[in-house]
Amino acid sequence: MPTTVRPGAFTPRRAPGSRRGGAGLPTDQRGLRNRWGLVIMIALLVAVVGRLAVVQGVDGAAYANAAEQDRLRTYPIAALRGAVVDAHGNPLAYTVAASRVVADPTVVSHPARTAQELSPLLGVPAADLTTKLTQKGRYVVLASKVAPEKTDAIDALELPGISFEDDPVRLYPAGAVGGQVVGFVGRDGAGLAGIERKFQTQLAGTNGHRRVEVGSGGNPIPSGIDESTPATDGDTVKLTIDQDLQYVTDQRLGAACADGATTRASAVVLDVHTGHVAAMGSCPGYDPGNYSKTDPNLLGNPVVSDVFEPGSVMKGVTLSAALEEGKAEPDTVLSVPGHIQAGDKVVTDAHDHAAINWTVTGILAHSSNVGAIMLAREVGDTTLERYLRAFGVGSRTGIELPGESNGILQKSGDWTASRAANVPIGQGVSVTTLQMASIYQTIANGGVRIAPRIVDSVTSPSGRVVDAPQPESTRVISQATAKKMAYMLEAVVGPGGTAPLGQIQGFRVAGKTGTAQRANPACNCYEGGGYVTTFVGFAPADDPKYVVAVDLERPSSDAEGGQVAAPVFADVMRYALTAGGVVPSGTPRPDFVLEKP
Amino acid sequence: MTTRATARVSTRTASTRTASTRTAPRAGVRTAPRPELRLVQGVAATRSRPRPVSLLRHRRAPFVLLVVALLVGTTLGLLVLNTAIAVDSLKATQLRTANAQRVEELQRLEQKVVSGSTPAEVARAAVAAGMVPSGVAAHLVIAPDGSSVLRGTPEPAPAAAPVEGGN
Repeated sequence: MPTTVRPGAFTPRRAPGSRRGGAGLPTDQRGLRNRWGLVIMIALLVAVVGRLAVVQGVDGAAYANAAEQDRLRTYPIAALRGAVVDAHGNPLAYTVAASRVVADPTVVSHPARTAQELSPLLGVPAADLTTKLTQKGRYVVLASKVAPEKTDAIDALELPGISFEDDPVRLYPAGAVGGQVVGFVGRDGAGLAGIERKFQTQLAGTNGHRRVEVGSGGNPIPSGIDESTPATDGDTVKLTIDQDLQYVTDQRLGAACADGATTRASAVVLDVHTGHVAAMGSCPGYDPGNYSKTDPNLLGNPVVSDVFEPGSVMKGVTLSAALEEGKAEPDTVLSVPGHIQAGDKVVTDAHDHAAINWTVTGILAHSSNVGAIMLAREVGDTTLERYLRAFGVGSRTGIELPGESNGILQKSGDWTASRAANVPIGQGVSVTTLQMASIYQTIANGGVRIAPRIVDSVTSPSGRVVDAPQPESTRVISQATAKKMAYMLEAVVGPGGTAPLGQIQGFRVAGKTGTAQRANPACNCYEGGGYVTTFVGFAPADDPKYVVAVDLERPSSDAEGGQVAAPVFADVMRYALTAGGVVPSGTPRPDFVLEKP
Repeated sequence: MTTRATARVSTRTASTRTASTRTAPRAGVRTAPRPELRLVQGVAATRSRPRPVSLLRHRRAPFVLLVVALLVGTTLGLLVLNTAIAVDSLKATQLRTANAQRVEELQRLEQKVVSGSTPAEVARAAVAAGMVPSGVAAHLVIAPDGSSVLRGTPEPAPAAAPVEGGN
């Protein structure tokens, strides 16, 4: 009886020996099939592993970088530009945080509604915003320099596609006061003029950045990467300028420019014993916060960059040389004619006159051109040039301001006879207002010239103070000569002098007027150029504290320095002395002998 | 020794026989005849009795409970920590926002102070208050003996210009 096998749990459903695909194959064919299968499997494995090696080993860095770039956003953190402060720490320029409002139009869902909501906060018409929000691209600037409180209000609206970038604002709270000294920054925040330009590196600081991991919508992932490299703010530059004195100086120069004849007026105030600039300005000036609306030709600093022939104030150098060289004393008497031959030209005094027995003090007090030329001839051209250069004429002072001019002083070997007669009286030689002030600082400081400086120190954000290097100090004339010069210069503002309007009640004042022909830029000649009127002086004459130099460019007027520049000097000096708490010595002005019979 | 060895052989034989009995229908495949199967007594004396299932459960229970407790504890701990971190994060965000607002307020006030203390603004406020610029100051210099000397010439200040809009 045949046995019937019923299929069970361990019973194969196919008959033994009837395996799929291999049933009945000879052994060698089955082996061949297995080998091919093995080869295909190995090939696939090699391909997969090879691709893995390429992806991971060769292109791995690129893929990793691309992935990182895709999910990480780097935002710059703007460094706050350092402040520029006056001698007492009052800010003349400083930076506050503000923002640039930008949009990604592809993310903004309702451009018109978004524009309506932003318009009152940004102060931009809604139509303009709508245009920007509907344009192509993924980045558009809606507004710049937006105050923090406004960005907070915008942020609270939670508008999609609107974001903020750092966009600090540079403020000049004093406006035009000291504007030419401080200078200004361009749209990119870099200094373009004045201290802003000269100290760009120190003021700028170093920007930082923030790396944030963002999602597909560009929004930061709360628990993602958020790394910040903080910005390093810029240094603070402290000037030697006194803001209040600067204001008074600018105001007074503005009044001078408003007289209808003065086209440019400049002034500088120096501390006699340190060479520090206490005030420096010109009219017309400009507001650094609004410089773009100013004539570009007026965006310089004429006190250090514009040169002019100073006229009779140069007699201070000529007479210093004569005294120092022993050619004359204050009471030496010279018979001074009204005119003198100089090569092919004749030089006269302000008014031609018969010969007068003037003392050297009288020559200075009356500002006699002929007397000064006579003394200069005693000194000699070479020696006079040496003194001029020692007083700083013809070379930069090295003040920490851009665009300083050397002035113009030819070598004495190249002087013609007329030039040799002109240089001692301040024609044929050009100086800046600052150089002019520096000459009289030397006399007031007992004969020691201290190069003018306008920066006191630079302070880093961490509080480290770096004082400005000590300026160069040079003895030009002896103390005795300087004292004699101070005595003679006091006669200029005394009775019989050319500048009684330079007097200041209660104080003894020494100074010198100047009225020089101004070169006419139209013809490069003196015809129609008008005059540059100057006054430089120091006070108190018996214990000098300040030097004030003033020059006015008056193309259409023949008024003299004693009439128009001396009053400006007196007003500025009066404030400087009062605000500086200078107590007059109380000693009377000496009696001067200007003329001998 | 001999007895135990014999017994082991016997047992094997018995087992083999039992298997032969079960696979009897396939006997046709094999050619050699198998020995006849028979029942033998088990070897209970040489084997330990299997433990009851309930006893096993009782002995593993503490371990299971420990694992469960650890899992639950860890989960709860993580939950508490996450909650605490979230709360702190929220507080930090709020404080950061408040700090930023204070900084902005400080900046606003500083700007106000700076713009209000410029010479031009002070001069305007002084004129509005009816003040006039001072002339040259005179000084009283006190000597060591207590006497005083007047330096300079004191002058009365000029009258203030009428303020626009004033009476």
